[in-house]
Amino acid sequence: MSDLATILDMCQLQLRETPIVSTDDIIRWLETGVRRFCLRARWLDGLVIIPAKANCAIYLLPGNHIATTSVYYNETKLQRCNNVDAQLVSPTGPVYYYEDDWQDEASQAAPAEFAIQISLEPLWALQQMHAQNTLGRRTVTFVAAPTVDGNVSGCGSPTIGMLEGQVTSVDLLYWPDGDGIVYALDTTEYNFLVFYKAIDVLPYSATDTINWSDGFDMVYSAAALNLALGTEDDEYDRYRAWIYGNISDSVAAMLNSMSINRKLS
Amino acid sequence: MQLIDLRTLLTRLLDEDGIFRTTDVLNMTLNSSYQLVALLSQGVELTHSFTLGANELFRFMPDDFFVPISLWTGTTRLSPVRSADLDLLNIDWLSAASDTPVYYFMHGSLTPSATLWFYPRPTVSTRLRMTYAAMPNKMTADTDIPRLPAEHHYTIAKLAYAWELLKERGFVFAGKALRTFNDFVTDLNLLQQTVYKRTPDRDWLMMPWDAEAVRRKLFAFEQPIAAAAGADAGDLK
Repeated sequence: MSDLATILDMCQLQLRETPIVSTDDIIRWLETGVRRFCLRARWLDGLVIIPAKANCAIYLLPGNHIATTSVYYNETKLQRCNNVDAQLVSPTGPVYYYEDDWQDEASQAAPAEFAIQISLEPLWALQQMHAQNTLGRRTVTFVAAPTVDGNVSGCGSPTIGMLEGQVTSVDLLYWPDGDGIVYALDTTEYNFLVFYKAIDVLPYSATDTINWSDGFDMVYSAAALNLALGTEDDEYDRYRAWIYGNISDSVAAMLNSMSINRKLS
Repeated sequence: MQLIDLRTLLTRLLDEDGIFRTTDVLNMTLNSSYQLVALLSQGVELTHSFTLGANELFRFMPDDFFVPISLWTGTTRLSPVRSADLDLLNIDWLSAASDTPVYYFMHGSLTPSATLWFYPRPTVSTRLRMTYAAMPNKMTADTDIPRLPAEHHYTIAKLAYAWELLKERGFVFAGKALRTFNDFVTDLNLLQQTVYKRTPDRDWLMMPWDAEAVRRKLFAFEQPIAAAAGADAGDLK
């Protein structure tokens, strides 16, 4: 796997002839480059289990979510519908869903993660749930809200949040705690399971120990250099920036083509 | 070509342009090029056998897993589908009763937890044999050889050459890098054609009734590149 330091080295080697830039600058360009590449390629997959809470219809999607592939409730597929069509159906439980952007924090329609910040309990399972920023994030709204809480083994009545981790075996979600111990939870019964296209791990500082797939080291650095050199006044550098963009976009297009045209996911 | 041959070739190409690079830099660039070529051409194929336990819905894949090419249980070949296809087949496929696995789909390729999902889940432990396109390991020893047909090794050097040229300032270097990269794309397509001829049924399950493929083509969000290209064309007009 390629780590962050390797890609930063690649970028710094490429930028050595240009006016000095800081590592923090490269990190920011790399972060944006990774986002842009993943958005174009739509290759990486994500999987998250969202514990259901009775009478709560709106839930935040993961921060790295790009597009939803499938949504299941209690292991049954839900149907996607348009926001405007939701009023035309009147199911008694989650049957349809639609996606939106969360922009109105002043309204009464609080998405689920707001609850966790108020009622986080000292249970280890709940501590794994994410309390995340909400503004500008995507939400999924279920038509209609579940009538019962989902089952999460280890806690009787789960607070709403998001379970992300390494999935193993049937109906179980595992993740390591800080000491490397792996816990298992029964997670799909009366909960939501979401398959989605994802953005890769983003860098936040030079000391992060991020690992990316080897196949992405060159294209991620090309995407970052596209942005870095694009800020230069020198026409030659801007030309190089365009070529770097051409490289990352070409690879993204090839991966995107595989993803769309073949039965890969 | 061994790694040392590729490095020598790249050194000579760069010498023509008055460019010097250390061995470590050349190795890093050649390895990145090799892995990208392998990924985009699917030219590195491996076969792996594993056991899917009774009632298991999915199984983790090897670290070098990229995309599945074929999957067999004994002499029976499983069929690839998308999860969306399974939704059309059986809305409760996740919790469906166990049986003999017929379909599979991939999830999480190029992430630390790549998985293959199966439907139906097996009643008993089932031995599976899988051929898959792999992401090869980096070459470390000078005697290491890329796991691609020898006549396509030069493709690796071309991408590495373009990458190194791009490190230099100046229009001449940039123009040469672009031409080299375009050559590389042409060569990569040739390699991909070779690979597809070797396994022509990679895409063989795109049936006329594949409604999911039609749906995906209808949704603009599934085609960001085409959408972006359209926007650019509009700007030019």
